[in-house]
Amino acid sequence: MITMHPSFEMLRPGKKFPTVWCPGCGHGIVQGAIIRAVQKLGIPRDQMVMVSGIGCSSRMPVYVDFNSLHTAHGRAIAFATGVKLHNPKLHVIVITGDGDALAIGGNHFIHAARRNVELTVILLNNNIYGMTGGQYSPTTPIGKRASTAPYGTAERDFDPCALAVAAGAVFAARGTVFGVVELEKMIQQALAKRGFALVEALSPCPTLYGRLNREGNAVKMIQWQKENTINAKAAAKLPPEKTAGKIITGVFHDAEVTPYTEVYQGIIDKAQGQKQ
Amino acid sequence: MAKNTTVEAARAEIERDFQAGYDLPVYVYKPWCKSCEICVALCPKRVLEMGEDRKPVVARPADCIQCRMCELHCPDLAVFVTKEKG
Ligand SMILES: Cc1ncc(C[n+]2csc(CCOP(=O)(O)OP(=O)(O)O)c2C)c(N)n1
Ligand code: SF4
Ligand code: SF4
Ligand code: SF4
Repeated sequence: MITMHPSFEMLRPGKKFPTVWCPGCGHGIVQGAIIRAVQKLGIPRDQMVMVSGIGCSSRMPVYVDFNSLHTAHGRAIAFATGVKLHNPKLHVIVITGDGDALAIGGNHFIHAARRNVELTVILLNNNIYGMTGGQYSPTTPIGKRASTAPYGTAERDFDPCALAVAAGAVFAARGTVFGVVELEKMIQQALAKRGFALVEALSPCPTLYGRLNREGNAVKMIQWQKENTINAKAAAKLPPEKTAGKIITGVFHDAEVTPYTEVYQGIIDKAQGQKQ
Repeated sequence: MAKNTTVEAARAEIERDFQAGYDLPVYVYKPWCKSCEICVALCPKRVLEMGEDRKPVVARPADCIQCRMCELHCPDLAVFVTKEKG
């Protein structure tokens, strides 16, 4: 028995491939992990809604055969909140970049987490604005170069997972495209949560971040992830000097909190006089 | 360079190859391949090599352990395992 690529059935019919992404861009690897996570959970694609903002990462909904909304820069979470409130039965997944989610969209991000809106937010973190030519973003590490920081940025970077947890998210995890199998499991866990669930996927941008910081091509950047990340469970067993400078991956937070649409339904019931 | 085709066209082309007797454990759909070399670099068994056309070639099919590392890491769904493990 010889078999076809298992992800083809999830690609949008009639759409021309390959994607617009540069050779070796991590965003395509994250897309693959999302497709497999949805397939493994057996969610019918009519119940999936993929909502994105603007950016290279935000191009994803045009390629995957879900219901889709490609919205305005930074506003994906606001649109997604509307979709979820209108029909809480739908699985709403937000595709967003580090600029989209944390710079222009930072307020939407923290307040959706605070409200605990049931959204699966996949933040494709490439530490730069890819689409517009490599300006530094809120996750560009201090000292790293960008087109707007030729001598390195002077700003500290956000930890998106810590930010989400502080704001009230029920799930927060960080994975890499090198560790795509674990990343896929994190996305599965996040999709199964009832509440604001964040998966931060470290997704290399070889064209801009890699070139500006002399980190080499896509292969080198993926190998860098292998050498420079460590799972939280493994890190907990090691002395601090062994984990210094490494990026910690894994599931950082997994809690149960009544989701927003449920609380909101209570308000609707009250207003309609069905409950006193 | 990669060539733009729809998933329907890709499927038809690959099925034609299968019907013509394609029997290697991995398949490279060249029109979607962007020559990033990720699959070649991450294959633990060095099954894949870059060909002269800058697309991967299944150079050592007998060594393939069907681990799917190439398939899972290809950003462009251009390489996949054609046979179940075992
Ligand atoms: C209101 C508005 N401001 C600015 C822009 C320009 N713009 C488009 S994408 C983008 C940033 C993209 O970076 P990111 O969200 O990190 O995604 P990436 O391209 O890196 O995947 C910016 C500033 C815009 N389209 N709309
Ligand atoms: S510019 Fe960077 S993020 Fe955008 S497609 Fe190219 S590699 Fe990917
Ligand atoms: S399935 Fe594994 S062993 Fe076979 S070619 Fe792909 S990466 Fe190499
Ligand atoms: S990973 Fe995919 S796009 Fe890159 S060289 Fe291999 S087949 Fe081509």
